[in-house]
Amino acid sequence: MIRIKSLKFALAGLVFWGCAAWERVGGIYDARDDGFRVEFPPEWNRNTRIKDRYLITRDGLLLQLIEVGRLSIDKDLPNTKRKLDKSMSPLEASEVVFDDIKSNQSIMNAQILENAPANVGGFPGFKLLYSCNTKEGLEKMGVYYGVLRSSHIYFLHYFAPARHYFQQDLKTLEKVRESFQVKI
Amino acid sequence: MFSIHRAIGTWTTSWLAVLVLGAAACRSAAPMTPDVLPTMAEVEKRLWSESRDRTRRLDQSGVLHESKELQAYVNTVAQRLLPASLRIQDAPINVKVIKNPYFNAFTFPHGAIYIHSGLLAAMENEAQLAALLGHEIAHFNHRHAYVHLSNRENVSVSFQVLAMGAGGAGLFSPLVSLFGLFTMNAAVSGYSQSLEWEADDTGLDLAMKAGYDPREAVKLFEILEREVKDRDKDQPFFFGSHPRLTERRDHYRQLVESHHAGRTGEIGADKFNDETAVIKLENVEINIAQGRWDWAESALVRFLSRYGHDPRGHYLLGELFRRRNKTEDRERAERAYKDALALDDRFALAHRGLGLLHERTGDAEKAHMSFRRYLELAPGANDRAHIESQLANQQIGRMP
Repeated sequence: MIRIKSLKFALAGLVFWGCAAWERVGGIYDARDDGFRVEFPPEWNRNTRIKDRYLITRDGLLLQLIEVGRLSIDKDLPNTKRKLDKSMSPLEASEVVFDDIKSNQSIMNAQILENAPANVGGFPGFKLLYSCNTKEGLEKMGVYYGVLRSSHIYFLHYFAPARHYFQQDLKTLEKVRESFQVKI
Repeated sequence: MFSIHRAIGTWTTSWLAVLVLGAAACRSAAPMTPDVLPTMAEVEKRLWSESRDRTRRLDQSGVLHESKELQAYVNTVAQRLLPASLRIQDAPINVKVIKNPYFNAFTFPHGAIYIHSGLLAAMENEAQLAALLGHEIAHFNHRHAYVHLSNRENVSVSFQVLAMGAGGAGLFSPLVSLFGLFTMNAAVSGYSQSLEWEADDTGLDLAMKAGYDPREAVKLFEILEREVKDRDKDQPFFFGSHPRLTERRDHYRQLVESHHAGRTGEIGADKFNDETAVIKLENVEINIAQGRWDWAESALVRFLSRYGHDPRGHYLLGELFRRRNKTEDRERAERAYKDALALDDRFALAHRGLGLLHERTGDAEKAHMSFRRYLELAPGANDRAHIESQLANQQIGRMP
């Protein structure tokens, strides 16, 4: 009996813990420690387990996600051994970022569709529009806005299935980007 | 009331019953021949059916290399290795190349063989490819997937994995994990040592009978060993998880020195290098993106020693040096870009590389000329806006 009770508590805890990973967002987020400010759309949800950046979605990470955050250029990028350097031009920085995307083993056939200068957080940065396939064959598209400031790269990254979903939230991404301010 | 959960549960249970009964019934298998097909046990038929589904999805996922010539070439080599008993109309051996820089090759139970382009790029000649394909064909010949499945221990592990899958991934996890158990675990990650060694033995025999030099099999493993030492330990590496790589090399060496002592044969370096040149450069590009400079550089030096007239090889050497950006790299990058342009002045990306290089070294005049030439040659470049912006900034910089 005690065992069953313990199991029930464990399951309840597990469910609660699982639910607690997501919280509704909307409004202004002032990430003072990270040196930026951003406004998120209402009715999107943030994964609170991801601490090093804001990771939000409306319908689930497989359908659309927006990541906002910053990464120290002294830290390794997730997939490439290449390093960012604060003396890099936006074009050079975008090359390193795309090399990192291309080196990600969970996607295939990453291709740049457009690489253009962009205002990111009030500073001259870059916009990378790219496409790729998942290992399951699903075509996805992404937009990566980045800017090098001081010893960090500040970024906004949108990623969604190419069909239907990608277009659906491009405007949302643009609103988030317009609200994004780097304060360093 | 119809319940999809129950339906799937029932389906899975019956599948597993078949699996266990099949496993209990058969622990070894006669080599594959056309006569074996109609007599295959239900469990093996299901295994084939699932592996056909999986390969169909894999083929449609965009991971395959797009070069039809390359796909045709590896199949030509495979066909040359096939004995008459394995020329089965309903189960044709089919080799496909997957675009992936890591070393891997695997065979699905119904005879579909996949090779990663990274593994092909590391090879030196056709005899080495033949040794590898012979090994993979031998897995099919000896029905290793089925033999593996027939092992009671594997079935027990399968149950555990199924249970975990069912608990962790929801409704469809039992369906998804079934294939993963039998094919991904074994065919992709490697069979037991005895099965792998049996495949080495038969595979080398097939390569030798087809006229290839068996000694190249040992050399292939020496190359792989050398290259693996340069790689990170955490990289996925198929042959390392088989009986260890050195053990495999030693096993091949033993086979060559005992069963095939004194035998030589065709090496086929020229044809192999011509047919695989495209993937050697693609692999270099991937290694540059990953920042694996030494790998990329040694591959490029090897490539250029053979194809010094190829502007793309020189351009990639320029990219490698520019992106690595050590002090001595700038001059080397400039030289490499200029070598590419000496071979083909209309190679747009080499002009781009020179422009970025000159911009970094503060030579605005030269950067301006190179960028302008780049845009003339590649008006639809995906980074046109960046380059135009840099040109505009240089223009402002030059204003009095």
